[in-house]
Formats: sequence, C-alpha cells, structure tokens
Amino acid sequence: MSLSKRLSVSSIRSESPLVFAAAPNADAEEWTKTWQTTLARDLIDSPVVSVDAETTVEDACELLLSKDLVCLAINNRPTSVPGGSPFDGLFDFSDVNAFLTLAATRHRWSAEELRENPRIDEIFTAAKAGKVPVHLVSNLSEKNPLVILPHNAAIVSLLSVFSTGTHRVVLRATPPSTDFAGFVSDRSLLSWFTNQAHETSTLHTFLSNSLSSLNLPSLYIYSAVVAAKASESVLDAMKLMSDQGVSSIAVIEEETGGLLSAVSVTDVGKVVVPSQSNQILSTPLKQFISMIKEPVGSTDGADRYPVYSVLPSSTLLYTMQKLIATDSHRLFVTDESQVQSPYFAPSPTTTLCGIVSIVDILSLFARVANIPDVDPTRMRHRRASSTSTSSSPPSGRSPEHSFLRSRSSSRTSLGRVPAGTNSLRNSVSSLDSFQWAERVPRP
Amino acid sequence: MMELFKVGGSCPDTNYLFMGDFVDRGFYSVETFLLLLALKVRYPERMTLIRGNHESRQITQVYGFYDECQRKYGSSNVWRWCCEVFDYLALGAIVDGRVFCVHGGLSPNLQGIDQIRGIDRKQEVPHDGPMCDLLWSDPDDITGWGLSPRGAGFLFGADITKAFAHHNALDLIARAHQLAMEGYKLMFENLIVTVWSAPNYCYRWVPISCIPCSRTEDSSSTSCGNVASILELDEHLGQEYKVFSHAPPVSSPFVSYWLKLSVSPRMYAQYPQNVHRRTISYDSPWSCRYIHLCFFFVPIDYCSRIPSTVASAHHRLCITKVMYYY
Repeated sequence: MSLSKRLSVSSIRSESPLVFAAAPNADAEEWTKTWQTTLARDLIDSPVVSVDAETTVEDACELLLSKDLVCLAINNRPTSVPGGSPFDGLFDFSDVNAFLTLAATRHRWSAEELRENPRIDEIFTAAKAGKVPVHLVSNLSEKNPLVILPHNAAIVSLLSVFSTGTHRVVLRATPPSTDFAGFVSDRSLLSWFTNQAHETSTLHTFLSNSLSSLNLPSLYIYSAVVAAKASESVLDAMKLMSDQGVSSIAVIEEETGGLLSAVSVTDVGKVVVPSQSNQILSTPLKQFISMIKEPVGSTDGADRYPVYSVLPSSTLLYTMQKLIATDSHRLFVTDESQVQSPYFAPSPTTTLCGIVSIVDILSLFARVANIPDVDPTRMRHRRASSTSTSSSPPSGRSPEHSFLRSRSSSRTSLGRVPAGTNSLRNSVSSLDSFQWAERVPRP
Repeated sequence: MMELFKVGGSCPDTNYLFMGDFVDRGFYSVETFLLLLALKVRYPERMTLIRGNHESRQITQVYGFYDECQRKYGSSNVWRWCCEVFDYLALGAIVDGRVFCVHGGLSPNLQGIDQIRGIDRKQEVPHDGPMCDLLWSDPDDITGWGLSPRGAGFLFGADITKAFAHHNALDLIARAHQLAMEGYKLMFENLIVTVWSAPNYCYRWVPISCIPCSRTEDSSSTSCGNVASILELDEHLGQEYKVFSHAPPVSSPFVSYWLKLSVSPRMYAQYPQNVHRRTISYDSPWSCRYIHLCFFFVPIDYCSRIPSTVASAHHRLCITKVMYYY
C-alpha cells in the first residue's frame, strides 16, 4: 500500500503529559458525521470465497494457504432453513488452530465433558469416521462469527461490529443482486482512519497523543498479554491461543525475560499444517520462530525485525502507521529497562508491558462516536471461560475470574496435561486418527 | 568469500570495507566472521568492518548464528563473545570524505555525520532510534519518510537522500541490506547504491547433519539466480562495479570444519575477547584510499572449498600475531 508509506512520521513520541486524553466534543461530532456518511463498501479489501459445508477441514485449510486468503465463507447445508443467510459461518486460521489443538489434546476430554459439549463430541465422532466437515469447525475459536451488513452500511456500523472484537464483516452487494460484495476487514478500516488523519487536522492532533495518555484496555496490564517462554513447545502455544481466545502470543526469552518474538494462528496455519510429521508440535518455540522467520527475506534480503513493538510514549498515529506498514494485527508495548552487565556495554532489555491490537484502536474510535457497548476483549473472556474443563468450577463464574485463573494455569501448561513425553506422544498420535498428516499436501 | 577475494584481490594487497551482515542464514557464519576478524586484527588498516542489522543478539537468536555456535561449540559462549565484538563495530565509514558507507540507510534523527560520531554505539542494537535506523532503513520511491514494513528503521525518498548528501558534502552513499538482482542497484540519479555481494542468494545447500527445517532444498534445486558485485573505488573515487556469480557447489555432503581442526576450540573462544580489546582504539569512521566496498553475506559453498593448508596457515599466522600483541 504505497499510500500508507507516504504518510509523514513527524511525531513519533508524544510530549504531552500523562493525562487521559479525550477527543474534544465538537471535533468528535464533526468526525462522527463523516463516519456516518462514508460507505463501508469503499473499504472492501477481499472477495468472499466460499466452500461447501461438507468440504473437509484439510481441504478448506489448503484453500486458505494456496489462495493466500485469511477467511472462507461456508455455504449452507441443504438441511438449513431457507430465507436466512446463504452462509453457515466463516472459517479462518483461528479456527484451524482451535481444531488442531483439539485434535492434539483429545485425551483430555472425559465422557461427561463431551456430553456437555455436543459440538466437540460431533467433531470426534466425525474424526473417527475419517472425515471432519468444515461446517463443524466453523467459528470453533469463537472469535470468527458471521456478520453481514447491508450494501449501504456506513463506517459507524463497521465500528459497532469491530468494537466487539470481530475482525471482519461481509457486505451485501447492491440490490437487486443477492450476491455479496466482499469482506471488509478491521485493518482496512484502520487504514482508512490513518489516511483521514492527514485530511483532518483536528483528528491528526488527537492521534498525536501518546498511547499511555489514552484509555486503551490492554496497556500497563501485563496479565492481559498472553505469553509463553521460548523453551515451551508449539503445542503449548497452540493451546494458549485456543484457550485464551487470542490470535497471537508473545514469546519471552528465558535468560533476560525480554520479548523475543511472537507466534500467531497464521504461523500455525503456514508451518504446522504443511508439516510432514507431528514432531512439529513438540518443537521448542525458539526453533519454531526461526522456522517462521526463515522464508521471509530469504529471496529478497528484506529481513524483518523479529517482533513488532511500540513504547507507551509512542503516539497513536505512529502505532496505527506501524500496524499498517508491517501488515500485522497487533503490536506489543514494551518498556526499555537497562540491564547493567558487569562486563561491557549495558544491553537494553525490552520488558513487555502491554499490547495494542487493531480492534483496541477501533474501539477507541467507537467510543468517540458514542457507540454503546464497546468491549473488544469480550470474545477472549467468553472463550476462556468456555474452555475451562473438568477440573474447573462451573461456567457460571464471572468471565474475568476464570480468565485469570485459566491464564495462570495455562502459563505452566501442566495443569491438565500429564507431564512426560509419553502423553505428548499419545496426543500426537491422536492427530493421526484425524488422518491429517496423510492428507495435507507438501507446500 | 574466496570467490570475492579472487575478483577483488586478496587482502592486504587490496583494501576492503565490508558493510555488515557477516552472520546468519547459512551454516558457516562462525568461520566467515572469524576469518574477517582475523584479517582485521592482522591488517587493521586494510580491512574495515561496519555493523549490519544481523550483528545483534536478538537477530542472531532467530536467524541461525546462535544455533550454529551452540552446535559447533556445545555452549553459547562463542555466540556471546561474538556479540560483544559486534557491539564495538562502527556504524558507518567514509572514504576520502566523499563516499559514506552504512549498512541500512538514513535516520530522521540524523542530519549530519558528526551526529553519527556522537552516538554511543557500544551496546546491543536498540529496536528504535538513530542507531537502529542506520542499520535497518531502506531507500524507496516515496517523498519524505515512511514507516518500514520490516518493523524497524524507515523508508526514505530521493529528497531526503539529496538533502543528506548535500549537507554532508557527499558524492555517493553506499549501502547494502537489500538484494540487488544485478549485484548492485543505483537510485536517485546515482546518488545512492545498494551493493550486494552474495550470489545466488536463495541457494541453500543443507548438510545432512543440519537442524530440522521445513524448507530444506537439495543441492539440485533452482535458485533465485541473482549475481553479486563489489564496488571498486580508485584513487579519484571513480566507481567500477565488478560483478560475479556463484562458484560451483561442492558435491561432498560432509563438511570438515577447518576452524576446529586447526585450532582448539578453547583458543578460539578466547579469540574474540582479545580482539575487541584491541579494537577499542577506533572510535570514529575512518578514511582509506583505494578500497573495495562489499556487502558480505554467508557464502555457504565457499567456505567448504578453502584448501585446508591455506586456512590453517592463515589461522596460525593470526593467532601468533595476536599473542605477540599481548
């Protein structure tokens, strides 16, 4: 996106004092008017590619990888009620990760738990029969609901959807067509806001505030950042992402406690899925990161920094520009602390102190536009409480509490999985029962 | 690397300036870097090394150098000591006051070369700021500055480049950091050049005992087919680009690590420590006449072709010299 590259980077660090900045009311009204009149269909960034509901998960995943897509729509089954939406649901890499994690950990599920979770039971039954249809795995991650907006929806409607943590909407085509015009992603909307900053000076001023002066939900709250140690395995990372309802986790370096890199569900899709053996699941994250990074820049010398981050003093505009430039979904917020070594130069360690994602920023705009019920972390809480199984209290508990509790147990990742390599081998061989390895093609 | 020395002439008969990225993405990073370091110690006025973005603890942990040291020495000591040497490498160099050399590019926080001299460089490459920008930025067809898709450094346009060159009275900015299919790439009315000295960059010959990798290629795989070049400057700073392609690959699947054979690992492990104490003396970019500018990367085929007699001789010579200085 060459347009985004031309944006000036005049203010990278803000000099404003540590006060919570708010958008002046008059300006907010001006902006909201524009947001109510600009049409969402100008922001469509990918077509709607659909698959049959009975397509296998493996084939659907192959389609995602081969066509370089991030999401598929699943057509309705013949048995579904006519007149509603033509799609059963969506399927993306978060769902792939949830499915693979389920496959690798199926021995954890007791008969009683399966009774309480009929869909999981259906998936296991289908797997035993040898074929899992993709409609069973649609939105398995609970982060990828199907949201359809009318052809003339405006930006504000997009804001309402994205501020609940959803990452994309489907837009209908202009009537009388009953087709779908395409997907609008949260990144596309963020890009639009970034461009707007150059046309609207009042918006530019507001966006020149530092992250720490804005009321973002996951800043300075270390426990909100899901992370794993570099020595933990790929399967540990997959479980964390699935259980916590996040699409990416930070990887912390053991010796210094500094931020090394990050692993996302897309990486799982691109590296774990095509892998020829299940050994990949027990690979330490440090090695996995090298495997993810190796192809990038291997033909054009354009290596990338292992982790994308900003400081609490970075401006919101800079953060938005960096998200667009690096084509990533979130940036880690780090504080630099100097570690004094007894020998030579002090080496700065990046200490993780928060995370800023695209939906966090869009939620900020949603609040400015006075949209009610803004909660970008809602999906994570719902997911975290729903994945608590046998040893946990009933799901009637408040989402926040179980989120923190399951967070601490998943840290060690030993809570429910018996320690020792035997159990890992068992869970890995259960993956075979899904006939995954045989069916996934070589890249 | 031996092919490169054939094209340009061997050191010390020819002066060389290597613009960083000595390690990572290959299997002979240790041998490559230590040979360059040996040449630097032996002929300090004829060999110049500046820092690239890969001369960093964080990057080498992800892109292979850390793993290679662990494999060859059984511990992370050599990696740690090499990283300490990296901290001392200069961030840039100037040839005769007119050609500025840097690994990546320019920084919005640096207008003058004197400001570069003022940076306290003896540290790990920060993830942002002027020191980071010098090693990570790229020239691009934009106006002004842009954020880099790499996640560090900036993109800078012709206007920025011209202003910097004018302000610092430069004829040319030579840099590396990006692949150039023809071996070199001139931009902005020949004001800035990217020099790339690793031919056939995508070719990855993987020895049998390598780390498991989902993207292994065998020795008969197709390549991205780029050529490499070195920039030769004569006494009038006239430019000549000497282009070369890869040497034929070695057919033997087993590599003899000549480093380990000729010198004991323990002596090797001490080596970088002695070296960096020696190199404290150069605090600023220096000038030299009649030099070669190269971007050096890991030529995995080359190292295995070094005749062992030559390699060992080099080695012992260097080690003797170091011992003599201390």
